[in-house]
Amino acid sequence: MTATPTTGPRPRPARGPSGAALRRVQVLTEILGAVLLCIIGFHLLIDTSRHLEVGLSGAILNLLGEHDVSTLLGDSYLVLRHDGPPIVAHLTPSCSALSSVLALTALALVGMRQRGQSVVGLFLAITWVVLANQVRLVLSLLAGATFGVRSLVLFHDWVGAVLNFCFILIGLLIMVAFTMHPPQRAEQDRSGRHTARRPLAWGRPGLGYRVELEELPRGSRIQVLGFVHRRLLPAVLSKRLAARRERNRVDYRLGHLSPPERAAAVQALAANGLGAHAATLIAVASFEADGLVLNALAEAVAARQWEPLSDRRILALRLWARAWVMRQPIDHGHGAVASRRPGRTLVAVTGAGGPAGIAVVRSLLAAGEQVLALDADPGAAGMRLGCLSAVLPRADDPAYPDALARVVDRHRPAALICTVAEEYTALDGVTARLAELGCRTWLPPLAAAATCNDKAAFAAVLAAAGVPHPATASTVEDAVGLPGPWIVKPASGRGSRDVLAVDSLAELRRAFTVVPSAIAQTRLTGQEFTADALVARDGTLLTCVPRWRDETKAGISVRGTTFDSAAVTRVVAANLAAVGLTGPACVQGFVADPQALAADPDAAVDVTVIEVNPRFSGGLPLTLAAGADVVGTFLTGILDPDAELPALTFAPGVRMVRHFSELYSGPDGTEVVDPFTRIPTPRGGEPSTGGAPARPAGGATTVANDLGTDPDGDAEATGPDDGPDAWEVLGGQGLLVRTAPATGRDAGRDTGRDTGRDAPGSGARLGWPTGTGSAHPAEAGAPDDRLPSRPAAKRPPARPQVRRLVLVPFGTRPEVIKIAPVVRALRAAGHVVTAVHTGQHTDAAMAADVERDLGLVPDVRNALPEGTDRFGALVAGAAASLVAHRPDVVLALGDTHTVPAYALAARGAGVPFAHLEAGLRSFNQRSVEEVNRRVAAAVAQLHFAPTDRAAAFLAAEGVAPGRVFVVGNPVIDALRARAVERRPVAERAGVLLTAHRASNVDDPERLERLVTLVAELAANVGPVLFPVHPRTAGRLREHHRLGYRLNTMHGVRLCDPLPYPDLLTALAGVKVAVTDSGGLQEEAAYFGVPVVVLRRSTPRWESVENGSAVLTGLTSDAEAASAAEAAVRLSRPDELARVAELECPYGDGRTGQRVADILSDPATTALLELAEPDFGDGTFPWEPAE
Amino acid sequence: MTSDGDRPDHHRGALLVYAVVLLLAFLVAGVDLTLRVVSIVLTTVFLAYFVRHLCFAVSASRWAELDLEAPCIGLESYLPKLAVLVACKNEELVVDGMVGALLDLDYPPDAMTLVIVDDGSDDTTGERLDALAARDDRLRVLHRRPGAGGGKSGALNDALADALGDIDAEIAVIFDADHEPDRGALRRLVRHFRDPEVGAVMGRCVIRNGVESSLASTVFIDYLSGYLVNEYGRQALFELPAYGGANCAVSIEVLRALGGWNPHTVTEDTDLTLRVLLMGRRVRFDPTAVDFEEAVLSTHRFWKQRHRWARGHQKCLRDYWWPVVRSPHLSVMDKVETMMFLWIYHVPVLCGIGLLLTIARAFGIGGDGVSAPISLGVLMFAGPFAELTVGLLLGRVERRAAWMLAAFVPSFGLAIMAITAAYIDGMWGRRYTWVKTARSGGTTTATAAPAAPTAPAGLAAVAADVAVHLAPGHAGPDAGPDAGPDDGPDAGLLAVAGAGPGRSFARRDSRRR
Repeated sequence: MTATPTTGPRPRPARGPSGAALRRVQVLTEILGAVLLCIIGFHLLIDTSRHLEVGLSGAILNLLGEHDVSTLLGDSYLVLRHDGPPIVAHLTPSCSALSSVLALTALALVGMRQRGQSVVGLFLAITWVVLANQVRLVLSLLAGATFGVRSLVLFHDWVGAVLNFCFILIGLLIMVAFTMHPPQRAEQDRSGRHTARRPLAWGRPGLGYRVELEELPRGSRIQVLGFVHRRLLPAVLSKRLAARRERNRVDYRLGHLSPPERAAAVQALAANGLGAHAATLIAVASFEADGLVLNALAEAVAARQWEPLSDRRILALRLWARAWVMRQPIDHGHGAVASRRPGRTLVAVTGAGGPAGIAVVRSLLAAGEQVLALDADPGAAGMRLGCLSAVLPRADDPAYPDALARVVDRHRPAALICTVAEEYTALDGVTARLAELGCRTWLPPLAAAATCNDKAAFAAVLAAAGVPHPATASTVEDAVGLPGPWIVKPASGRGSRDVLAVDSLAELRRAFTVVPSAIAQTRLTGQEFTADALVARDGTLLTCVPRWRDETKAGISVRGTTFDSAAVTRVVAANLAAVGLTGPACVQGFVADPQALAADPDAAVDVTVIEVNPRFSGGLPLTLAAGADVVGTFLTGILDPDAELPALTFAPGVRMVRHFSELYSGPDGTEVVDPFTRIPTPRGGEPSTGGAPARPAGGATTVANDLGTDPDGDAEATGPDDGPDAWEVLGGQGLLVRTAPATGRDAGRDTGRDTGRDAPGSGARLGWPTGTGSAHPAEAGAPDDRLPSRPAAKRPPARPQVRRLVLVPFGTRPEVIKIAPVVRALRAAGHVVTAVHTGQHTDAAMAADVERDLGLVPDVRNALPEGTDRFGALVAGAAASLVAHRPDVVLALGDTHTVPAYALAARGAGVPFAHLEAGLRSFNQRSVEEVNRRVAAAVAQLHFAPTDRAAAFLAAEGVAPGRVFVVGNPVIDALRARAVERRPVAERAGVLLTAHRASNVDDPERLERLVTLVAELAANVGPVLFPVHPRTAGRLREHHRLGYRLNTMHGVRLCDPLPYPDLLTALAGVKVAVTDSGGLQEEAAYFGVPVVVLRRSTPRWESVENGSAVLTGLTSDAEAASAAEAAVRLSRPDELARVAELECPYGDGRTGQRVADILSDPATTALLELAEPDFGDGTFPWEPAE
Repeated sequence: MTSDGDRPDHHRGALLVYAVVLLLAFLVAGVDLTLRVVSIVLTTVFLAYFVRHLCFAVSASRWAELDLEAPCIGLESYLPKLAVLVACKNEELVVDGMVGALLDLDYPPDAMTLVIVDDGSDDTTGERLDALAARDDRLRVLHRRPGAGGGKSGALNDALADALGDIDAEIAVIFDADHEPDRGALRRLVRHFRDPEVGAVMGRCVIRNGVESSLASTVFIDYLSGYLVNEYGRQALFELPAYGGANCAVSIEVLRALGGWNPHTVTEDTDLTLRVLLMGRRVRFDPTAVDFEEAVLSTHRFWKQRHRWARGHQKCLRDYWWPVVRSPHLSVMDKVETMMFLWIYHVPVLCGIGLLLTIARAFGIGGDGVSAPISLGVLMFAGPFAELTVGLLLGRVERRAAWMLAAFVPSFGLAIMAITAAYIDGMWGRRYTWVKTARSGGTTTATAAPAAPTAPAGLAAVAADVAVHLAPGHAGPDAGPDAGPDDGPDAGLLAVAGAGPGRSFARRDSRRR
C-alpha cells in the first residue's frame, strides 16, 4: 500500500460559513420549499382532489356504459354487484393522483426554473398523470365489479402500482421532453454530435462533438409564436416575454452572422438601449472573440454613458467596456483623422514596403483606419508608417502561413490587403484560418493570377478572347516570324530583370539563349499607359483609371496624368473579363495614336494591352487623388463580401509629380526630427485637402513618396501645405528608401519604357538592367531577396562594378546549404545567376526541403540515369547547360562529382571556372573527393579558399597566389542566416551521432563497433541522438540483430535524417558530436561543440589543429574505444569550456559577400581570361621570369 | 507485480458476521420484523442519497449553464510548465493520431512536454513513438520493459520518476490513448492552479462515439449528467469533485509528496482523489475543459468496465474510510460527503437487496402492503433520474433524446448486478487480474480512431522489420508472460490505460442507487 501522507503542506484554515455552505443552504431551502409545497398542497387539496377524481371516473364509467358503480358517496365508490354485497371502495389519499401532480410541480419548480417551456410540459404531464390514474381506477373498479373485492384489491395494489410507476415515469418524460430544446435550438443530437453549426468561438464548450453531418434538423414550422406575439398578445406582455427569451436566443440571433454583421447588429441593439438588450450585449462581451465586434460594442457602450443604470447589467457592461478600452493597443497618433466607419478598423497590409503597399497604407491611414504593416524586410519604410508592424517570412518560405496566422492572431486585424501578387498562392492556403481569426481577405481567383504571371499563358488567353495584345512567340523559330523590333523577356519574370530590347535577328537568337524560358513580342509604339482598375466579385468593372506614364524611374511612374478614354476602358474591361480577375488590377498597355484622345475621350484609338498585374499599382496615389477611392472600396468589399460596391468615378487630367521623402529614426527606434521641418510636426493634424491629400499626422516624421496633384498641369504651384521645403526635398535623392529608384538606373533608360513597363509600381522588385555595365549593385540593396537595405552612409565609395552571368551547379544537400547564401549574395550584387541542379542526389527528402528552405530553387534541373553512366550524364548535362546559358563564369563548390564534371565541361566550352571551398586536402589517396578537389584546383582560374591553411595547400601545389582568395566557408553564412545561436556550455547535454560513410557502416564488424560506441556514449556521456542516414538504415536492416540492439538501447533516440534547421538545433545543444561527415565539423566549430571524427583523416585540419576535433576510426576495437574515450574527455566541463572559447576557424559569415565583391571587381576579369602562354621568346617555364 | 497487489485481501470474516447476525435476527425477532427493519434502514439510505442527488440536480440546473458560458480570465497569461502524460500499451492504431492531436494542443511549445510511456507494447507502438519523437522536441518517449507491472499507475510512476526528472514541469496533465482533447483544454485546466490549495483539476469528458451503438449513446447521456450535474454539484455544494484519471491535471509537487500513483488499485484516480484530500489539498472541476473519448459499445464490455470500477471504488472505501474520519483537513460536512461518495458503489448492492425485499413481499414475506416497496423503488431511481434530466437540459440535447431516459431502466438493472457481483468478488477476495494483456485492437474502443495508420517510413520501417524478424524466435525473455490466468481476449480492455478507471466517477455516481 502506498503511504498516505495525512499531513499536507498547509493545514486548511478554519473559516466561517464557506461559499459552499451558503450554496447548500440555498439549494436545501429550495428543496425544503418544494417539499413543504407538496405537503401543504396535499393537505389542502386532497379532499377536493378525491371528490373531483371520483366524479371524473364516475363520468368515464357512465360514458363506457357501466352503471353499476355509483359515485354518490363523494370520495368513495359504491360498486353494486349482482351476485354479492356491494363494495365500498374508498379512494385513499395515496390512490389520488394529487401526490404525483404535486411531485411533478415541485420538480419543475426546483429543477427546471427559468425555462419557460417547462410550464407547457408540466401542464401536459399533469394531464397525463391524472388521466392515467383514472385508467387505473376505472380498471380496478371494473375488475371489482366483475370478479369481486379481492380482485379489485389485487388489481389496484399490484397491477395498478406497476402501472402507476410507469405512468409517473412517462409523465416525467413528457415534462422533460417539452422542456428540452427543439432541434432548431438544440446543440447536440442524442448521440452527442454537434448540430447547431455554431462557430467555435460562440459554441458552449463541449456541447457536441463536431463531425460532418449529412443532414441537419431544420426548423420549417409555421411561425405560430411570431403570430401570437405580433397579433394576439398585448405589446407590454410580448416585450416582457421577449426580454426573458433573449438570453437564450442571443447566439441564435448573432452567432451565425459574419463579424462585420455582428458588429453592426451589436451597434443597432445598443443604439436601441443598453437596458433593453442588456442580456444580449453581456453575452456578446462574454463570448465574442472577434476584435471587430468587441470594438463595436465598446464604442457603443462608451457612446451611451448617459443611460440611467436601470439594470445592473448596464453597470457590468460599462465595467467591461472600460477594461476593454484600457487594453486596446496604443494609438500611434493616427487617431485624429476622420473615420470612415464607426470604430476604426485594423487592416493588415502585406508588402507594406513596396510602393503599392505604401500607397495603400497611407490611403487607409488617411481614411482613419489603423494599419498593421507586414513585410519581409524589417527595415522597409512602409513598416514605420503603419500603426503596428510585423515582419513576415517571404511568401515562398514554408513558414509563411504559420507566421502570418500568428501575427493575425496577435493583432486581430479585420481585413488583410495583399499588395504582392506572389503571395496569393501562399495566402490562399491560409484564408480559412485567417477567417477563423476574424480576418477577411479577398484574393483574385488563383488561376487568374497565375495567368497574369505567366506571360505566355496570358497571351494565349487574350488571343482566345480576341483582346488586342502584341504577337507573342515562345520559341526562336516563331519569334523570327514576328515583325521586329522585339522585346525578349522571361515568361514568368517580374520586375524588368532579364528584359532585353532586341533590334536584329542575331540579337534575338542570342537573347533566347540568355533569357531563361524566354518569350518574344513585337515592340509596341505609341504612348504607354497604366490603368488602375477594380473589379467586383461578380466581375463588374467598378472603375478604370488610366494614366499616362509621362516619366518612369526604375519602373515606377514618377510623373503621370490621368486621362479618360472609352476605348481604353473597353479594352481593359475585356482584358480583365478574359483573364477572370477580381479585386484590384493594374493594366499596362499602349495607345498607338494618343493625340486623338486629347480632343475626344470617345475617340476610337488603337489600344493594346501588354500586361496585367493582379494587385494595386505603384502609381496608386494618382488614382486616389483623381477621386477613385479604390482602396476604401476594396476594403469595404473585403469586410462585407456581399456588399454592393459602388462604381467609382475619377477626374481626368490630374497630374502627379513624385519626389522622395525620408523617415528618420534614432538608434533606439525613437523619432528623429526631420531637418526640413522647422517646427516639429504637430500630432494629429487635420487631414489636408486638395493638393496634398495624405500626410500622416503625428508620430512619423515622414512622408514617403509624397505626391502633389495639379489639375492645371502646373507642377510648381502644387502643395500649399508643403510649401517650399517640400520642393527642396524634391531635388534631393540622397537617401534611398526601398521605394526609391537607384540613381544608376537612368543609364538603362535607353531601352525605353519597355523595361519600365514590366515593373509597374514595383520598384521593390526591380532587377538590374540587363545589357549595361554601369549599374551600382552595391547601392541597389537586395530588393528581390528582401535583405535589409544597408544604410547609405556605410556603403563603400562607389567604383565601377561588373555584372557577370554566373552558372552555379549543385547536386547534393550540403551543396545546397552552402551555395545558397553565395547565390543570394551574387544576385544581390547584381550578377545574373543560373542555378543548375545537376541531379546527383535525387532523394527528395535529402534535397527538396533544403532547397525550399533556403530559397534556392534551381533554374535548371538535370536528371541522371540510374546505373554506371551517371558520371557521363553528369558531364553531358554540364556541357549542355554551358551551351544553353553561356555563362561568364562557372562557380562550383566543394568536392562532389559535380565539381570535376562542370570544371571539365567549362574548360571544354572555354568558360572560366571558379572553385569555392578550394584547397581542402585530406591527403587520403583512397578518397574520391580528394581527387575531385585536385581536379578542380587544376582547372580553376579563381580559388576561393575557406581558410589560410587551405590557401597554403594551394600555394604549395603551385597555384598562383593572385588567384587564391581566402573568403571563409559559406556554410558559416548559412548558419548566421539561420540565427541558431551557440548554447552556453551548461545547457548542453548528450551526444549527436551521425555515420554514413561506406567505410564505417558497410563492414558488419565496424557497424557493430559503431553500435557498441553508441551504447558507451549513452552510458558515459548522455542521451544519444542518432539521425540514421538511409545507407546506414539499410545496413542496420540487413543486420537486424544490430538494428534491434540499437532500437532497444536505453538513452538512444533514433530518427530519420533531420531537416537541416533541426540538425543545427540539435548540434548546438549537445556536449559533443560524433560524426563521419565532413561538413558537420564546420558547423560544430561554429557552435563551439567538440567533435570526434570517425575517420582517420579529414580535409578540415583547423579543428584538429586547435584541439576541438579528434580523428579516430572504427577499424579496430581499440580505435573504437579511443573514440569513446575522446568523446568522454571532450565532454568534460573544462574541455567544453576551452572549446567554447575558440574562435571559429572557418569564416565569419561574409563569404557570399566577398565572392560577390570579387566577381564584381573589374580587376577579376583579367584573372578569368584564359590566355595561352607565350614561350616563343626562348624562355622555359621552369626558369624564373626576369 | 508486487506482493501487495498479488495478495488477495479478502473479507470473508465480515461476510460470515453479516450472515450470522441476519440469522440471529431471524431467530430472535422473526423474519417479518427483521425484514421490516431492513426495509426501514434501506429507505433511510435511499432517502439520503435521493436528497443528495436532488441537491446536485438543483444546483446544476441553477448555475451550470452560466458556468459553461462564463468568461475566462487570463488564459493567455498563466502558463506554468507542464508535462502531458499518456501511458499506452499496444496502441499502434491510434498512436499517430493521438500524438498529433496532443502536440496540436493550444499551449506554448516551450512550456509543454509530451511524455508518452510505451508500456512494454509488443506491437509497433514503441517504434512509431520513437519515429515521432525524432521529429518533435516536445515529445519524449519512455519505454518500459514488457511485464514491468503496475499497469497504468506503474507506467505513470515511471514517467514521474524518469522523464520528469529533467523537465522542470509544475503540472502533469494525464490523458488516455483514445482521447481527443479540445484544443483549449490545457489552458483551462491549468488556470485553477493559481490557487495554491489546488492539488488536482478534473476536466470534463464527453463521449464522441455515441452514434455507434445505442449503449454508447446511453453512456453519452450518462456522462453528460455525470459531469454536468453530479461532478458539478459536488463542486458547487461541497467543493469536493473527484479526480478522474484522464483529462485531468495534477500538481507534480503533490504527486511527489504522495509517492505517485497507487499501483495496487484498479481505480488509481479515486485513490489519488482521496489521498489529495487527505493531504489537505483540493481537487477542482472545470466543465469547460473538454475532452472527447470513446464509450464501450457492447453490454459485455459495459459489464466488465463497471465491474472493475466497482471493485476499485469499493476497495477505496475499505482503504480510506478510517483516514477520512480521522482527517484534520476535512470539515464535518466534507467528511459526510466524502463518506457518501465512498459508499456510492455499495448503494447498488442495497438496491439489489431492496428489490429482493419487494419480491419477498409479493409473496407475503416480510410484511404486507405495497406502498413501502413502491416508495423504495421511487427513491432508488428518482435521484439519478433527476440528474439525467437536468443533464439533458444543460447539454442542450435535442428533444427526441428524452425517450432515451427510458433506456436507463434496464441499464440500471445491469449495473446493479455487475456491482453486486463486484462486491461479492471483493469481499470473497477473488483475485482480480488487471495486469495489461493484449488489447483486442482497434475493434474495441478505437472504432472511431484514425482509420489507417500511416505506412511506416524511414527508420520506423527499420524498426518494423526488426520487430517482424524478432517476433517468432525472441519473444521469450523480454515479452514475459504477464497475462492473467482468467483473462479472455476482452480482459485487456479492463486494464488498458485507455479504457481506464480514468473516466470519471461522476457518472458512476449518477447511475445507480
